[in-house]
Amino acid sequence: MKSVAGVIALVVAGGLAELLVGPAGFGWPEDPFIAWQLRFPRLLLALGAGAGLAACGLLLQVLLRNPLASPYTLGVGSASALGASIVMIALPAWSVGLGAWLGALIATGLVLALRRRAGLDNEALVLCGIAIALCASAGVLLLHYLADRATSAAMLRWTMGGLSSVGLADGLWGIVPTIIGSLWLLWMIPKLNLLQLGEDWSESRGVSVEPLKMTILIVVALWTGSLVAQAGPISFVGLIAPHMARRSFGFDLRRNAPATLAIGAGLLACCDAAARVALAPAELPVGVLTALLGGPAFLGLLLARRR
Amino acid sequence: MMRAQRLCLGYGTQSVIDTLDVEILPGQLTVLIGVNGCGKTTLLRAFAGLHAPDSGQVTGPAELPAIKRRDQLAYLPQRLPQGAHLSVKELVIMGADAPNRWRASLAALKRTEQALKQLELSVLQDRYCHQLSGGEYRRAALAACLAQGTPWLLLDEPCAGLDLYQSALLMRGLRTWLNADSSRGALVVLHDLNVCAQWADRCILLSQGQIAASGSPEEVLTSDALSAAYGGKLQRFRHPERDHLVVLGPQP
Repeated sequence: MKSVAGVIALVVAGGLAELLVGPAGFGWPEDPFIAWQLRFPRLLLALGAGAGLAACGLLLQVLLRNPLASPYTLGVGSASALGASIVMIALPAWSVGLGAWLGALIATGLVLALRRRAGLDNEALVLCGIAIALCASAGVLLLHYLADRATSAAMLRWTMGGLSSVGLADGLWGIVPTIIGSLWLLWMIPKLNLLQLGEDWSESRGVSVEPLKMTILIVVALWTGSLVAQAGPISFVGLIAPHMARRSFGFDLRRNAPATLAIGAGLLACCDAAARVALAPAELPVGVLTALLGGPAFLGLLLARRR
Repeated sequence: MMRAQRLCLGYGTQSVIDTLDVEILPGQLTVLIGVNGCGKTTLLRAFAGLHAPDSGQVTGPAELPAIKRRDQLAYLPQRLPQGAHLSVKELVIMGADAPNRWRASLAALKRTEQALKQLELSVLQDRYCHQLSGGEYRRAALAACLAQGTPWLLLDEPCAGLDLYQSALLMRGLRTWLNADSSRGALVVLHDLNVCAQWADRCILLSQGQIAASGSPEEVLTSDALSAAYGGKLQRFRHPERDHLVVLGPQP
């Protein structure tokens, strides 16, 4: 991803693949239902979820000044899985997405409350996120144990993530939070650029650091929660896209943040298209593929940086 | 003017500054000295609006919200900004404007150019900060403070880790900046008593969270006051050729 042209090519390739790749082969579907009610919403969801998760990863990496931060660092992924699992077992009338969204918000609320009460620094915040993730994972395991086989399988399937969408509304749920979040991110870039240099440094250059940090945590919770509710906890995009952007476009967020959004969108769209044909006619959950590809790719990036 | 009245500062239950009253006047280079842990940095951060008082009051720019405070004071922290990935010019220009602009204003560009020139960094302006020596990077960070265009500068150990020449270069840059406008003032934490003796207009010796002595270097850097604050026997004498004091530390 060496240049702007490379990033644009990735997004265009991902977009075309999402629209044109199907179980029956490559090409624009003749059935308008497949084209406009299945593939187009799926494209919107892939672009929205990819860009959104990447942006949330970037925001947490800036906030915590930790390159290993991802949208799930503060326990949002596990907490949303717990929320979704509770709904599947106990509240079948509710939407699974709503359960996941509430789980994400409650986890972030807990982190904020602990931070406020105990005055946690960045490292303690990460440890706090790990503790919340461990508790939520234990809760999910307990629910698996209590659930019947079918529900347990559904719960497990949900945690693998997926972009199957039916109808434009599904696609809009993915793209609208990302459009709103991205506009906010672009507006905040000068402040975030200063925050990267240190808290005292940015505060004495006009950034109100505490309110900004609080706002970032709330935005990331709402944004990630909305995407996870729709697409499940898809891993690695939020970790790897900011790294790829930083490697090619540097640390200046004026270049890095738009690149992160685009790389995240393009990556997830490409992965989803690949996931649909990898085991055709069956469909591989996209979260499995992003993790399978993301792990080695991340190692590759780290090794390339060492050289 | 910046003023602290009956100021108490601390971290949790640990008290660092205890009922301190002091005024910092414009037109002067005021230097805070004292042993490690006596509260110099904490007091400086309180004047910078970065450490809220446990009790008492700090008046001056510290009272303003961050966005207005940035026009009144620039602060150089002990731990330098993590700007290794930026060029010197990018580091200096970032923060020369209010933090709501994507592109620097013409005024900010001009201040950046002046600050780089003043600290003799113009030739290094396109170099990445990770390629600089410690002294050059510290000067670059000070240039970023100057480019903010504020009447107050608060610097925490600006000479830490610098060799004698870099140290003198930095202090001379600071003096030039101060002399250019009588409404400007600087509050600087220093460890090197000889740098303090050479450049300070006023010197404040902190000991155990309180002011042990305050006045001109001649008045404050006395053998008794220094020995009481630092422990051991410190000696002072006037340099035979240069017109300032020289302080010799205790022999362990």
